[in-house]
Amino acid sequence: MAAQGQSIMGTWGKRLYLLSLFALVFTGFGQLPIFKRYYLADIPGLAWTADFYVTMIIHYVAGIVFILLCGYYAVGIVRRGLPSGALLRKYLVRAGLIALLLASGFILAARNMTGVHIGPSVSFVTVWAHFLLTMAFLFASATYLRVRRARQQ
Amino acid sequence: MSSKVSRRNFLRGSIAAAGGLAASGVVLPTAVKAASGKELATFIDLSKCVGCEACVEACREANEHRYPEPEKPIRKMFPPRVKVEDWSENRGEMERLTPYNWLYIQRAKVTVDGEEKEITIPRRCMHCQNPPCANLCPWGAAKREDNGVVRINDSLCLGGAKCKQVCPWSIPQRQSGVGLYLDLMPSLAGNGVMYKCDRCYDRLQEGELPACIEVCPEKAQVIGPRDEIIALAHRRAKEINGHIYGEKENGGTNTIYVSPVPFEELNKAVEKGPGKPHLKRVGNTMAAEDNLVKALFIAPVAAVAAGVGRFWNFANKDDKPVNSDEKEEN
Repeated sequence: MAAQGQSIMGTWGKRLYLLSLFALVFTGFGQLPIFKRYYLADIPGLAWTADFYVTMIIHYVAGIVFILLCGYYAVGIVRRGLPSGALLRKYLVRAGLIALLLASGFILAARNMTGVHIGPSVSFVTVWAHFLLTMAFLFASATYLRVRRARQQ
Repeated sequence: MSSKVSRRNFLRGSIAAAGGLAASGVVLPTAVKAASGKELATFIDLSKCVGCEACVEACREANEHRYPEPEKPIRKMFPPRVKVEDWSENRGEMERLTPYNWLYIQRAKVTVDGEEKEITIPRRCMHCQNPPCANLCPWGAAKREDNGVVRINDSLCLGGAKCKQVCPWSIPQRQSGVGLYLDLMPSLAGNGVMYKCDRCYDRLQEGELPACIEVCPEKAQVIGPRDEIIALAHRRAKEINGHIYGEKENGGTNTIYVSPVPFEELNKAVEKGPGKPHLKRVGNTMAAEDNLVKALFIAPVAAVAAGVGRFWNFANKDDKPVNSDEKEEN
């Protein structure tokens, strides 16, 4: 139960959020055939990174955790009352990117289900949208962290 | 098989197939055209296949214009563990799948009714209903068309061979020195283009039959809407007390074999290895993902329900909002 003075997510919630985000990005890049090529899978204990089915399953599990936390956080934000001005814009950019990422991810996940067919054109656009949105999200996150660090110094 | 015999078979097969198809009334080119929006499947009757390789030759002739022409010398890859795969000097290979041979005849010596017999099996892409090659291709180069054909866009494929790795039969074959990777980071990423049967997609779009089916002198192969092909396969299996392969494999494919011999026996008898796929029973490789996707779709509802339960319940108790400390949230 969150009381005043506590955050919406709590410390463990934030850690879980970052962990799921890391797992999503790592296993997302793991869908490219690079981990074996560039010896990552040769490191003891990391052979699984070259198994595309394993990395896909981890991607889905991390996605479920990520969605649970994002949804929970979004409800908390709404309950608390949305901010205004620059803070609202920051929230909207972040929420928009995440929403588009999740939407494209949902389409791809639905396509991968047995008995579901999504046309090749929609599928192609969605694959690239998911990839480009990931890059945009990472770029936006890096920019945000750099600006925040600069302000703190 | 000598090319002389193959040519003769080719001509003979074309005539026989045309007559046979017209007479059968089951599967005709016009039916294929009309059904182009529907999921198509092929039926291969192994009790009729004589292994003449007319289909192999026809496939090669029909698709020759799409075969890769690599830039030589082919640049070495980095790191050195990534080997260049060059089949361009061995284009005549017909005893396995290669980038220049998308269909081959697999042979199995088995005993049927106490008599030793050779069963010949045309092997190519199975065209899975839920193809992992297309689902997991990171660039969208592999795709499943609306008519069920699974094909690879050779102008987009980077040759990473992921499709081959996730394919239960390791069907796609790589040719280095060709494709988009040469214009990107030719040594560091990619390694050519993957090739496989696309069931003569362009011919299908024109209302024609795939070349292999058109020339088959024994009418061992037919194509049509999947439900009709499945019914046909079951009827034939009942007639010959035979066995079916491909209907349930990997969750369902659009290549349905019927054999007088159990496929377990055929699998033991065929030569297997690179470019020579097995005939084992294959479970649905995407099954684990199926269950997780269901959980994925439930997750947003669960998250909102949990949030509402938590925060609104909290508000009802003492009406205190959660912390608005922005720093802590980020």
